[in-house]
Amino acid sequence: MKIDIHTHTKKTKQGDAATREIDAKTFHEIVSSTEVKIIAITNHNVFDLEQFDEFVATVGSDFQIWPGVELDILEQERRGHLIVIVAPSHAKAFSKKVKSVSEGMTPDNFSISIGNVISNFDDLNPLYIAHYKQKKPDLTDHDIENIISQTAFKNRVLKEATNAISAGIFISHGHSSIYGSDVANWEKYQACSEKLPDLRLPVESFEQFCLLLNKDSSAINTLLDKKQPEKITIKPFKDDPAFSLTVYDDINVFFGAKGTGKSEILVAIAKYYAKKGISAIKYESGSDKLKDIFDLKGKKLKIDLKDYGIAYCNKEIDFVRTSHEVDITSLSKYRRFFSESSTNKKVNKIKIKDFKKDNLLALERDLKEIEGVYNKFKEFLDYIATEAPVKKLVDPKKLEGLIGNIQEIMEDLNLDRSNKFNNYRASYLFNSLIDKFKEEITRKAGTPDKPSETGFKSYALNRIELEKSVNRIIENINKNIAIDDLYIGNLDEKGNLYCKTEIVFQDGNISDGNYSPLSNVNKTPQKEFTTKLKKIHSSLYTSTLFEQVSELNAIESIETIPSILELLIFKKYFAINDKEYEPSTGESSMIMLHKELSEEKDVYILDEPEKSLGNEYINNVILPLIKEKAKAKKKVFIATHDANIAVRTLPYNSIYRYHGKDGYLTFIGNPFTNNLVNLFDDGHQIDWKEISMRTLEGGIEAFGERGLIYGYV
Amino acid sequence: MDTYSADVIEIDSEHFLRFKVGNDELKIPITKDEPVEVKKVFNSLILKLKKGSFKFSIKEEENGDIIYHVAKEYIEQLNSELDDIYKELEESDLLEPDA
Repeated sequence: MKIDIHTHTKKTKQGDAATREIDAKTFHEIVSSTEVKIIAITNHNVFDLEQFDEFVATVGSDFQIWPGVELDILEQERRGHLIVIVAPSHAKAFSKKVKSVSEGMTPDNFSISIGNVISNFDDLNPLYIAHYKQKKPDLTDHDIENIISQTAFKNRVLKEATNAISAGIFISHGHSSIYGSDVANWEKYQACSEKLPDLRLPVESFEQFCLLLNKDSSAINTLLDKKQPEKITIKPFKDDPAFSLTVYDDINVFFGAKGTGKSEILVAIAKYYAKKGISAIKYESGSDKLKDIFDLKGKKLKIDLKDYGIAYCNKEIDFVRTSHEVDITSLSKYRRFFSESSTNKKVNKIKIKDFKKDNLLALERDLKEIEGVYNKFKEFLDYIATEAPVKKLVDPKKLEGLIGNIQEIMEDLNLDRSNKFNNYRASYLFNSLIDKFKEEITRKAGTPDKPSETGFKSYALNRIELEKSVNRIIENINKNIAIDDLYIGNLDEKGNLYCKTEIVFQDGNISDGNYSPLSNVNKTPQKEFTTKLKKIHSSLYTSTLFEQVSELNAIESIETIPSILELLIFKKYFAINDKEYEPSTGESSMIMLHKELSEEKDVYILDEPEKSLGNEYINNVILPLIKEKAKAKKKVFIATHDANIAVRTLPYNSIYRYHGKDGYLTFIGNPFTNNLVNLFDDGHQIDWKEISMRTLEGGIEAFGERGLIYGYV
Repeated sequence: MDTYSADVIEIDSEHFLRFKVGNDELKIPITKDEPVEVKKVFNSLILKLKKGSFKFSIKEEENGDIIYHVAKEYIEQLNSELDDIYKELEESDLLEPDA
């Protein structure tokens, strides 16, 4: 949530822009479209109670409106502005006071001394915010000291800066500072609200805000407790006792010099959650890990060819490898038959021996065809007749009709099937009878039987079956497997980085050494297999066919290729714009961290995520992601040396590890109380800001540039 | 279906069954067993079948000798097998008709 302690809703002075005027409805709409949840109305020298009440009634509970005024202070002929804000419950009294002090004056000629402000407004427990330095017209340090010395609420005197950077610089120099929009044109409010200070704690009232300014620990703890603290007990160090830490569904930062055991604590936290069944792995950067994460070596790469409409071709490979030549009928058998049989008249009378055999092949094919159709219908009938969802979803009458129609079709098919089966069996018996007769004639008469076929059919069928198998293997090998493009991340101007996985069949022509076999098979048999198979294909109807088959079988480790799956080779690589790209160490870290934070988890454990990363990337990409996780109530544990992360994320929890003459010490605290307390000695407290600035890399800059650190302004 | 002629020829005292398929001549030795030669002819016949179905006919001879009878029976059986194989090629989608 954001806070805006300086806004104008009316043009009160002549110099005020007319665009400061706003009605209740528009005010409600505009502020609701931002993240601002607390807004103070601070018009120049005027507090319009009627407008305030109307605005409060209009916005309801969508956000808080605090009553205030921006007063012209006149001190020793110097003019400066001082904002006075009170609790909404004091709006009426505040209105009376403003009217009383400005009686007889116009907003343009009104001025008041610091003494009069304090004497008139201090009993309303206000917040004083003085224009300071670049925020013109400003009050001097002396003026501000004057306010502090007279008011009863010394922690409620803040210096208004022009922006986050100035506020941060004031804060780093020990000043309590804040800044507001000082809106001049409401149409531009949405954009300028994005730069307003963030409130990390869910402040519910003006009074609570003031308690935080006082660093009231009970008020802070009340707000922290809304983030569901969890007490975890861990034992990260073998020789030290276990200890408990209160952690939050938010950002928990571990900082301290190198070698103080932060990483060990993270490991212990990961173990703690893993034991509870919560996924928690310590993230560490490292360029070589990127290749492992994306499995560039393809150790986990597996595919099912069926997903790509590709057959494994086990049967076909086996058929080709075990195929052999078929004998044909010797011509001498014909010669023998005709030279001897013509003399035996009795034998010549037995005509059956000369009958032409039936073509079983065609009959068998017909039978198989009708059986295939019949079985499909049966399968469908079983499905619609027995499956519960079908009965539940399909109209019973329609289902009954469909079942009836299918049964009729199946009866017809069954009748046809029976006929075809009978034909097949009859022909089979007929052919057997011819063979038997021939055999008997040969035996009884001692004459050779007449050859019943030249052998052409068997010979041709054998080669046709081989051709079908080889064709099917080659057809499937020629199919493409789509290149898998996995988006990894954006590398700014260089473009989007992808992890590409190319999987292809070794067709005997690929000699790119970057391809590796997908299965546990050597490259040589892979390459030779397809080459030899193609030779078989081109020799199908030649005399050398089975020499080629023998060559295929002679390939070393041919047994490691039972299917075409074993012919797959792959290459995985990173690419930008389809060109291979090797990410640098820094880029690898960026990608890995982004990936880690993009995963949906309840616990994130990051060990020095800033390693190899530039400040710009940390600030623009990583910090928003970490803050998003905190908003989504995820636990984020970060060990860091980087103030951008340790300070700018405004962690709910800061754990500081220290090694000194007393050994290792652990302090726990937060930016809101500004304390870090020794885990084993409550009385031993150190200053969070001071330690952070001293210990963290870029600490001073981070404090200088940050916005409001709540309770620590 | 085309019908190609076949006859018996004698070369160097050996008889051959000669098939005239278009411009090609295929010869199967009848009077000696040479399976390799026969298989070569079979291979050619399969490739021809892929282009279209055909059969062979041999001129009738009333008083043909044993060689003639062998050739006639062989052709009769071969025609039947050619027909079966053509159907098989058709079923297996392996025909390669000329464009």
